[in-house]
Formats: sequence, C-alpha cells, structure tokens
Amino acid sequence: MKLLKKKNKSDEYIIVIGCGRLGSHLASLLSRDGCSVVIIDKDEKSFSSLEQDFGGFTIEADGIEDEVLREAKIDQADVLVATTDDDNANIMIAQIAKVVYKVPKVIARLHDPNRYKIYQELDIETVSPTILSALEFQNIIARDFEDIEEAN
Amino acid sequence: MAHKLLIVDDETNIRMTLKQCFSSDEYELDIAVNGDEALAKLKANQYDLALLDIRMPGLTGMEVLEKVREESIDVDVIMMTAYGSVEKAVEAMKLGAVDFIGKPFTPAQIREIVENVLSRVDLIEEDLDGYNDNLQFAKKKIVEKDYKVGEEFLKKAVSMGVDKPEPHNLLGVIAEYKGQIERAQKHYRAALALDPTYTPARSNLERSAQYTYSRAKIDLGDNEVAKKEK
Repeated sequence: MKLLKKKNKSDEYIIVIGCGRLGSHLASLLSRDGCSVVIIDKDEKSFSSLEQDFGGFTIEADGIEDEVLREAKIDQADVLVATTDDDNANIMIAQIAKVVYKVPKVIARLHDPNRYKIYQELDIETVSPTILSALEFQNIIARDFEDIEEAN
Repeated sequence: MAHKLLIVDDETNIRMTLKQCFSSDEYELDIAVNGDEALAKLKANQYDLALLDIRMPGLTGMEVLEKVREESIDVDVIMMTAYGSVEKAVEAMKLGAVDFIGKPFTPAQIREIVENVLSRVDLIEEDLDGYNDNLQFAKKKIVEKDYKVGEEFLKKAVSMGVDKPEPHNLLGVIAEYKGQIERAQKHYRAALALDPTYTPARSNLERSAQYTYSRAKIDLGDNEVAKKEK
C-alpha cells in the first residue's frame, strides 16, 4: 500500500487479467482515472467491450502463462486484478503475482463463495460479486420491511 | 527549453498513454496517427525526438525510419514494438534508431528512456560524471557503431558501478557484434552473477547459447531502467 500512496495516479501500473464484462469495465474506469492499465485476454474480440476512451495497452494472450505475465511487465506492476470467469485461474494468477513477483497489491474475483476460506488462507484479497449482490439484495429487502413497518 | 517530441502511433489508446506520460512543461508534444503524417511532420518541423510505432497500417515505422535516414532528417528516433516482436527492434537499431522499448511499458520506463536519450545527446566525452553518464555515453557510441570507444567507456562504467549488471550486458553485446560469442557469454554470465534477476543478460545468454545462433532479439537492457526505482 505504501507504494500506491507514494506515486501519482498516472504512474500507477495496473494489470487486469480477463476482459469480460467486469474486467473491461474496471479497466476503463481505472484508465479514465489516469492509471496506466494493461489488460490481458485470450480473445481479441473481447477488447471491443472496452470504452472508447480506454487509454491503456491490450495483450491478446493467456494470462495464466508466466511468459505472458512477464511480457506484461508484471515485475513493474503496482496492482494486479484477476477477473477471469474461472476461479482456479484467478487464484493461480493471483498467487503467482503475489509470491513470485511480489506485486504490492493483488485482488482476485471470486465466483464461488464456498471457496472464500481458501483465498483467505492464501492471504489473497477477493471481491465476490455473488456475495456483494446477495448483501445488496438483503439491504434492499430490509429497507423495504422498515418502510412497511413505518407506514403501519 | 522544452524538448519537442513527436508521438507516432495508429492506436488511440497508446497515443493517450504517451500524452499523459509527457504532459509537463518539459515537453512540447506533437501527434501523428500514421506513417505518412509522421513523415510530413518530420519534414516540416524540427523535433528533438520521435517515438515511432513499428507496426502501423500504410507506411510502417520502419519505412518512416528509412525515409528519415535517406533524407537525413536530424531527429533521434525511439521505436516502440508491440507485444512479441522484439526481433524487429534490432533491425530498427541497424537503421539508426537510438533505442527501442517493448509494449506495454510503464510511465516510468518510457519517461526514463526518453530522458536518457535526450541527455545522451548532450554528453561530451570530456564532461562525463559518474556511472550513469559513462554508461549513457557508451550506449550513444554503440548506437553510432563506434564499438571501440563504447567498450572503453563501458569498462569505466564497470569500475564505477561494480555491482551493476548493465555494463557487463552491453560489453557482451559488443563482443557479439564483433563475433566473439564465447567472450560475450562470459560477460552475460558476469552480469547475471551480479544480479540474477537481470533479464536482458539472461535472455542474451540463452539466445547466444542456442544451437541455431542468431543475433535477433539481442537485448540492450533498456526496458530494465525503470526497475531500479523500486
């Protein structure tokens, strides 16, 4: 985290693996924020979902391969985010980034909430769209109940 | 005085990245979106440095570089190579590009390479001070194909930065240019002994040890410069 604070936003070098709906949206947001972004995906067509003003690099390759990560200059990265639709791929990439290349901040997308514990044990930060959505649904429902009670 | 840079790339996102990297008072930026526009601008205006993408539709970066040399336009050129096409970069160096950088690059890397090239131009032999000056001067000489002087200053750099792998790597590169493969490998090994993580020396050693020896992909280590900052 120290590294992140020291640098200007425009100097932050962020690697995003997976250019699906989540990855492409995140990469576009970060790029608009002024970060230097590299996004990696096996499918060249996936890059078309990036916003028009995306100002980063795209690499058409498999992000799980060490050589690809090195081409992306992972050793220079301040942040790596693994957002593929495959939990196993995400966890593997996150571990390589954290253990081998000592990337200061590594975040992985987690689909299956049951695996949350494994990630915790490996000390990898996760974001689970499933859990986040469930919580949000719960919040809305609870709020609606309160409204009904108040109305009564 | 602000340095005048010409950025040439057909991809919008790379142009935006570079614009962001060099948006300071030190630089005056100009943009070209293809080779033809670049050549027209290079003919019409005086630039200190051009950042040229190798792969472009129409007139490629290589062709622009060739034309620049043919018409002896006075400008330093740094080539930008796409992912997985480093071989081309060596060809470009032969055509007189002063340096090259592989995509993707970090803002720190591209800035450092540009600053180094710009300051290299002003280096005079009598005026060198310290390890980095000597190293940069040696690089300038290598690019000018003056290997003898380059070697001399690399040796000075070795004695000034005894723990630095880069001069050893470059000594290896010169040895290779002279056709002395075994000596080159010794230098690469020396660089690796000082810093096992220094990838240019590793890839040079692996490449030079291949059965089908080729000078393609020779690595001058310019992408490594920004690492030291961490």
